[in-house]
This record gives sequence, structure tokens and C-alpha cells, in this order.
Amino acid sequence: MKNFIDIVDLKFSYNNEGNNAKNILNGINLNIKKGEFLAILGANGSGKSTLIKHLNAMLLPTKGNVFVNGINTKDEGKLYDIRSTVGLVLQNPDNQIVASIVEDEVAFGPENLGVAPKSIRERVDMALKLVDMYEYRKSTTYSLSGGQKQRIAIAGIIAMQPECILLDEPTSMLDPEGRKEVLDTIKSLNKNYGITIVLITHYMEEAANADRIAIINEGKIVRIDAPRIIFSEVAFLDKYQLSIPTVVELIHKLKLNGLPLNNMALDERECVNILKKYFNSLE
Amino acid sequence: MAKIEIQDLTYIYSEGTPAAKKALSNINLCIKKNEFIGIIGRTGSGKSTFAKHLNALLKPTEGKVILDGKDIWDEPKEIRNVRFKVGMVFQYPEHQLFEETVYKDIAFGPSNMGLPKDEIEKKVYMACEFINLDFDLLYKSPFELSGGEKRKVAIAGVIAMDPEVLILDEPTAGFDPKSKEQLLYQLHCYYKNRGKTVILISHNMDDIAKYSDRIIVLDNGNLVMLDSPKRVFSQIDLLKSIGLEPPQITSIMQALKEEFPDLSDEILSVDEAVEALSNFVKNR
Repeated sequence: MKNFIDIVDLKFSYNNEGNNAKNILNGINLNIKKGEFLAILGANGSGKSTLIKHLNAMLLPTKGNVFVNGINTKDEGKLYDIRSTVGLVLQNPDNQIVASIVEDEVAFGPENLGVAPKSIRERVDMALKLVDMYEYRKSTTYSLSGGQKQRIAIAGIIAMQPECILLDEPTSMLDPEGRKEVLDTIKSLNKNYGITIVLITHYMEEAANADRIAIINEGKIVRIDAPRIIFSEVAFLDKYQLSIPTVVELIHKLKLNGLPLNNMALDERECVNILKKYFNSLE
Repeated sequence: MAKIEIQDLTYIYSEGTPAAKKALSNINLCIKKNEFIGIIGRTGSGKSTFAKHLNALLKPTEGKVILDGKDIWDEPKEIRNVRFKVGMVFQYPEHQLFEETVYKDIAFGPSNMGLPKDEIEKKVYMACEFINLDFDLLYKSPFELSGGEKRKVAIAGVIAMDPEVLILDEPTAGFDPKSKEQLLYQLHCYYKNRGKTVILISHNMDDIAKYSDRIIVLDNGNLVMLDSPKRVFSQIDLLKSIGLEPPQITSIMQALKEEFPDLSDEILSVDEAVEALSNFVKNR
């Protein structure tokens, strides 16, 4: 697969006057492939949000370069292309919803891109169907639950037909139901529509769904690998203020207790199946 | 004696207008002194509205809130004292920061209580220690801090008033796993070592299960359950019907129990599960 986003020696500091300004990002090199689902983990203040804001030119590198589809994000003339390729969803849906009716909210992005009205209608309907909110198209945005609001925010991005969606802790303010709705939506956009996903999260269970996990610490990527490999290294995760998913912890501790479990589980279903299979083999 | 007693509490938003909406209906419950209470419920179930009644930010439409045996609305002039006794940390507490320095922000509460200067200073340092905030940050502007640090400052500001009842509304949203554990552990100590009452609103069932003595379950403004974590999280069908679910480890054990009925499903932590499963294997 060809690289879709290339980050080369990226350094960033909020204050580039004065020499003692501390770098928030300290030499990041990262390639993101088209259609990939990448999760970013790291402690508070490690630079996760600063990093993803570079992917749609919300921030520009102090040193180094970021390329989206081969376009340098510093190229001011191409800002429009970058923003319509890479959309961003933030933590609190209440801070990003502007319209009072659901379908107006979703139409806001394409309207601003100057899309023809007939085509806007099609895009809005399609986007609402994708996040499973079509029946709410005439509802008021303030009457929705947190999960529904966040799905509307995602629909607003989808209506701009981006190739990639960045999500900065999209579920941290949601109840369990809302969290599941949003995660299912993200997974479906990635699997069924090939949209590249970059997800920042503090929930290890969510990161377990990604193709790769990047761990960032003090502005550097300290590790990038498949969830199955990363979550098998308990001591390593601990060092970077992270934890492991409950299912991984359970299997890990059962092994330490002498149970011969060879496989690793990444979700509840896998975990239950591994244990059932082992218990049945004891007969 | 009950620390807080809620009698027939009903609250209607925008009463008397066409937009009137019943947010709490006829709630009755008691919270003991030195108890750790969890509050769960889906978005819009009334958790925050309920909590705001406990420190007199909202006045019941009907019913009473009784603190230490006295209806808090009996003497409206004394309402300030209720707020000193019952401290509240809101969602996004970092939005409440406003002072020039972190020190002044944390000192704001105790200053309003009319404490002498050296006492205020003591409270500020104690609160910083409690929340694990670097003393070096005290003379910085709160707006120079990271998101996590800002939130710690806001929580320290409430802790500095040394409230008898501490209410926190989703205090760990957006915290990394280690910072989250640290804060929850500190809350546990505030309750355990200092005899205080802590009330935690959270969407994280694992945290609620781990720390609460009892859990208040709200749905659509109604009190659905008030019981121990084991009892609450064994009611899986009821929880699902109101948009909640048990901690993941409980639901794994419940799934295993379907095939192996000897297993217990009243399990709330990984360590309990490891013990139960290891014993199960030994006895097979």
C-alpha cells in the first residue's frame, strides 16, 4: 500500500521565538497507509492532540514536514484540498455542533465547500444513513443523546467526503451505549468504506480494534505495532502511563497462575471462547 | 444518622412554561456519613441534576434535601454553609479556573470561608499534595498548564475547602489510565482515611464497581436501584434495558456461567475472576 500521510522529522513548539521554548513534538516520523485504522495512545500532555492537528493543517510544523496525498501541509494554496481530504472530530460534541436541526448541521460542511445544492442533499442523506441517524434528520440537535450528537458530528465530516477522519477522544464524554455506537460507526467507516481512521483514545479496549497502535511519549513515537503485540508487553505499557485491556489482563494473570492458555484475546468474545475451549478440554 | 436524606424530591426544569420537563421524580434515599457512593445512568438520566440538589445549586420543585438532620432550604441565608460542607467538582472543572495564579485559584474557596491567612496557605499546600500537583506550578498562571494539570488545580480548589461531602461529576474523562487511577485512589483515601463522604458520577462501570460502597442507578429521572455493586451489576437485563452494562469482567463471567453454571458471576474485578477461575480449574 502506498503511503497516504507522511510525517517526516516533525518538531513543534507553541512558542518559536526565544530559544528555550520546549518542543511539544520532538522529531516524529510516521507513515499512515490509505485505509488503515491507526490508534494513538499516550499519557496526558504527551503530544497526541498536537500531532493529529498537523494532519489537516490546523497546525504547521516548526521543523520538518507533513505530506497528505503528497501535498505539503505548508502549501497555503492547497489548504482547501487538505481540509477536504482529512476531517477532524473532537472530544465534546457540544463544542462542535453549530446548527439546531440535524440535517442543517450535516449540510454545514459541504455548503462551505461550495457543493451544489442537489448534491448536498444526496451527501447529507448518505452521511446520515452511514452513521445510522437518518430517521433523526428533522430532529433538533440539542435533544439528542451524547452518542447521537457525536455521530452527527461524524456525519458532518463524512458529508465532506474525506478520505481520512481524525478523532480526538470522541467517546470520553459518552455513556457506555453512546461509546459503543460511536465505535461501531468508526469501525464500519473503516471496514466498509475504506476511510482511513486516526483515533486518539484512553480506552485500551477501543485501541484494540485498530490495525496498528502508535504510542507517543514526550513528543516522540516510542513504539508502533499491532495491538496483539503491543498489549502482550505489560511492563512496557506501564512505563508509559498506559494500561492493558481487561481481557488481556485476565488471560495474562491466568497464565501466571499456571493455566496453559496460549492464545491472546483482544475482545470479550475471543476471551470467552478461549476460556470455554480450555474448560471443555479438561473433561 | 444519615448524612444526607432525600425526601420525595421532584425537580421540573422551566416549570410553568411550555418547555417544562420533569428531570427528577419523587426520589427518596439516604446517604450515610463516610460512604463512597457511585451514581450511574445514561446521558440525560438526571445524574447531574440530582447532584446539584445536594449542594443547593438547584432548589427542589417538591420535596426536601436534609443535611445533618436539617432541611437545607429552611434558612436560605445559611445556604453558603451548605456549599462549604458539600463541595462539588463539575464536568470540565478546568473551565472554572479564573485567577492569575494557581495558588490564588486554589485559595479562592478557603478565602471565602473567612479563614486566617496561614490556615489558607496550609489548606492550599495540603490540597496540592492530595492531588499530586507539583508545588512549582503554584505561581504559574493556570492557563499555562496542560489539560490534565488544569483539572487537578480545579479539583484541588474544592479539596482545599475540606468539604465533608465531596461530589465529582465525571472527573476522570480525558485522563490517561495512570492519572485516572491516581485520582480515584486519592478519592478513596479522602473517604477512607478522613471519614468523608464521596459521591462519584461516572460512565466508567469498572471504576464505579471498584470504589463504591453503594451505587445509585438513575433512569429518566427515576431512582431505579440503590444497592451494593455486586447486587447492581448482577441485574444484567435491567441494566441493559436502561442503556447500561456491567463492568467487562462481570459480563465475561456471566457469559462463562451460561455454559458452566458452577461459576460465580458476582465478580467485579480481574483479580476476583482469576481466583474464581483458577479454583474452578482445580476442582474439575
